[in-house]
Amino acid sequence: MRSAAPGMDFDIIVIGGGVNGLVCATLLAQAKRRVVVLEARDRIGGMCVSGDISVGHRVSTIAHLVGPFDPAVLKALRLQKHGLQFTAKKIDSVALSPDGRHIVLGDDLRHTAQSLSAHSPADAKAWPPFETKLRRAAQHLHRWLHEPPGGAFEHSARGGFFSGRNSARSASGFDADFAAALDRSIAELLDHEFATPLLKGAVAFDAIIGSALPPRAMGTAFLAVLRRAMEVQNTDGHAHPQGGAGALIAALARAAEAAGVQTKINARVNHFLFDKGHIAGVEITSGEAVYAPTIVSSLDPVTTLLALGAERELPLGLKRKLKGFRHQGCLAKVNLALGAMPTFKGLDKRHLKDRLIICPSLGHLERSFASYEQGGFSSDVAMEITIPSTHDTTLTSSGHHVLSATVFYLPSILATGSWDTGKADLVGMIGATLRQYAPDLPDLVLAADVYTPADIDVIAGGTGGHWHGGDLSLDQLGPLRPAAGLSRYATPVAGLFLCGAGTHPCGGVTGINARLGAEAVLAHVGARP
Amino acid sequence: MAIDRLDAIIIGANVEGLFAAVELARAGRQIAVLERHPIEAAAGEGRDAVVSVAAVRELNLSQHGLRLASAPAVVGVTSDQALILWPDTQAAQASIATVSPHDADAFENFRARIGRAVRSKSSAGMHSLTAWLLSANTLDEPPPEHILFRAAPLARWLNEFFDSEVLKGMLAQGALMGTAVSPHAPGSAVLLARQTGFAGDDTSRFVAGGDLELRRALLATLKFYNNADIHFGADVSEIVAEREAVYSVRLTGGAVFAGSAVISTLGRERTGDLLAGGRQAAGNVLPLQGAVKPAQVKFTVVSAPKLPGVDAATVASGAIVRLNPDIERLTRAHGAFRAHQVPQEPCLEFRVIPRQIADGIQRWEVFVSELFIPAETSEGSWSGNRRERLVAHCMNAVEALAPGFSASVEAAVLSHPKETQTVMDAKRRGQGGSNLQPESATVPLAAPSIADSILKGLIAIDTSMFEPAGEGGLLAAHSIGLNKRAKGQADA
Repeated sequence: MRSAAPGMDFDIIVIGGGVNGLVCATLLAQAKRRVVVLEARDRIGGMCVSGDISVGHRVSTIAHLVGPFDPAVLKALRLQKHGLQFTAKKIDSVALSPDGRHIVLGDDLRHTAQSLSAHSPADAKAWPPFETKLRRAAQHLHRWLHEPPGGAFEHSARGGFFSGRNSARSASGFDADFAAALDRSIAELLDHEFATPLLKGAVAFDAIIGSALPPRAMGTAFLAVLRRAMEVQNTDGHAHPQGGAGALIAALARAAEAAGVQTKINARVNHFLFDKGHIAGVEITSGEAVYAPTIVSSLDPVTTLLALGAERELPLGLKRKLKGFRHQGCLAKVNLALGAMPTFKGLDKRHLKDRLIICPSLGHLERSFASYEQGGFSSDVAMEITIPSTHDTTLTSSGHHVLSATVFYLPSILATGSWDTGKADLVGMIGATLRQYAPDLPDLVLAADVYTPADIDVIAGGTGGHWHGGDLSLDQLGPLRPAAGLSRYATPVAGLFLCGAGTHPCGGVTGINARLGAEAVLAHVGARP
Repeated sequence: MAIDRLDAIIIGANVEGLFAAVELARAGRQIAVLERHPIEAAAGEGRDAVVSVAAVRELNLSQHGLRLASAPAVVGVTSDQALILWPDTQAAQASIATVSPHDADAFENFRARIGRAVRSKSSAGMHSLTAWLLSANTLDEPPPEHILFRAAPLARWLNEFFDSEVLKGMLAQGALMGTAVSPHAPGSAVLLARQTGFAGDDTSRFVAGGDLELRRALLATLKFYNNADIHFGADVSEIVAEREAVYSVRLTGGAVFAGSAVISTLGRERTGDLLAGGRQAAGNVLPLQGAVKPAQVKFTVVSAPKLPGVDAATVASGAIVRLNPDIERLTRAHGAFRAHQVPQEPCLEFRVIPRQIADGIQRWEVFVSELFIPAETSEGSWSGNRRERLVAHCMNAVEALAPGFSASVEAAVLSHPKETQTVMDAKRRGQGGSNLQPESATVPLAAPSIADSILKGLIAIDTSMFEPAGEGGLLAAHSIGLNKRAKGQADA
């Protein structure tokens, strides 16, 4: 074997060709580094891919809403120039009611109040001040979200590609009582203010979706603010790229190429190569070695640090802390090809392009979680539905539609039987649930694809398959993400950095982790003149 | 007015009621304790009692014969492993070393860190986790211990320290007993400190002789005050309110005690039933979210259960024996509980107490506590047949690890597994399931203000939900604001 000596192939290896990997690689290449992206699968994209459910029915296979994307990244990568187009931006949400009294959860507080008044005039009145308070709190979080936890990096002299900001360590303006209320559960926060079960179910669902936490788990109230923090001050909010999530990746790939990034597919990393305790490169499945003195991993932190040979370079305490990082996926994806547009009871046509939420109450979420804890699922799963073909005509031929739904909570491993047989039950149950809201929907299904948490795990590269790269729990956020002492993207392994969803701030298709990861790398190695 | 008005009336001469009574008597209040049982010796099951060392000191209980004891050994048994956590750390480590030398080393550090976390919590104050996450400066300092302790699930803490599933399961089960908390719930790590001795010896201790001795010492202490009366055989039939405030308590015999405050230890529901006019809300209920009494079965057996790998003397010494302790098993059982079902795989523990029932006749009482048994199941209420099945369920679980147990059973008594009613006022009440903030399972939330109460002056508490024992009674006494200073003295 060739020794890991100077004369390296690359300056930086980025592991993983998903959104964070590509964004990070591009930013580093723009800083004049020779960068290679190693992707394990036969295509780049990770969780952001488009695929055909059946011929002529294209859909975002896993992640189906983009953003809110980091505006700084959008700008630095010139994604629009590289072909990224959004067919829908600032998508509103609608909490579906089986009787057609839907609640609109949008930007406009009056719409929500209006739709709520059919349920409870008192709640309609209480909503605007409540939501305003959360949004105001979210504004304080905006900066926290876009900077590394514990203050901005010291950039090296010619350093970062973004002007250094002042440290945002102070939570000032964040009322102490309110901060204490956010330590509590989203269920308590909502029970305190509202009576309408549908409202409480949908708002709690939005806060928690993707994390294996019940609505009465401590700290879930904070997640409601975190979600809003992602949305405020952003240009596009939740958006749909024309052509689905894969189109975002295509634009990112073009941006990466333009910046000089090389990409290798079918290049799963077997293990790291070291030179005197310092990272020197990786060996990939083909047996080939790729050399670089710096590696940035967009894989989850546990796999990166414990499964690829870096373990012996870590202090024991940190190793054990990392083992406890919870990043087991609990969400499935269902994609349906439809022969015609289904009729949702009482739903205004203009809302068909919004996010439709099925989560009628807090009790619904609690029951679903109880089944999840037992390793199963019940008819109480909650769903987020989009019908992207309503605004993106490139996905399917006229008249037909595609429906994309995330289904929550589902276990990775079924306690009874396997997902091979469990899938059919899941599809049947989802059909029955959808029928309550759109009676004709099950009859319009031409083809269906189901991705269980275990399937998503495979697509995400066998690293947990968590929607956010790890539960958004108070012990796994900010300075504690993924573990105390590891939150600043650098690791105790010399030359190894993190930039995936398992780092601050959280998951979602935002590019923030990648930018902060890239900044950390440059702060350590310095940008090239 | 024909009768003298008391400052407070306490219903129930159980441990919580007596703690409230002593605390109020100490403050010079005129009080009466009403106990349904005709004689002093009635209540108490010979169970363990853990008390706060500070409360024992404050209330002077040692002067009235209360003695503190060290914790019993905790035994974890599976079909192929037995692990004994002796109160003595070194002895515990020796036992742990038989399953994992690493864990034996880590055990001391684990106890020390819990102690540190508990102490740093009290010294650093209870500042918001969210505020900490947003403002922490991570550049140079590790996060304070109490932050991790309050934010993390106990499973994460245990995984960080230990490899042995049995050890982790034992510690998790001890932490979760009597709660409705999942081992993966964020914040549940604080519950690890419930295991006496883990939080440092200065916080809480076992009482020598258990709840019987504790009650005896409290009664002795109360008799010392002449401003406190205790009435046995006093069966309360009605709590009378006037102008939205509690006014008096009526007994079945017709006697009336008038008072400006009532502390009922009968729990929310039964207290509500006693309210004249069939009122639903029983005034202030001390908030204790999601606490669930374990189902308890007392078996009387002719020979003590024999466990593989544990010598008979240890079992008979009153050790707490946890069967098949495992974090994931606890998680599944918790899921079943949340779905209002009896867990298929029981999570239970037992203690064996020898009893001399007559000259030369020796029996053993085996107290089995099963975790995560729902108050109401999807099959309906706990009627005869279902209760029998639960007893059988417990018996079979013990039999599986201690063959011959079932054959030795002479009698079995089930305590109704009844979930304590939650909390808060109706507006705050969630839908379905009990809500739990792990923290409030050990430390009841701040006492509710009287102004918010539906009926002024009335407090209902549920006994045996408080740890350390007496915490509920003390909180009740404090929350009616009577412990401060006697009325007559206030103006002097």
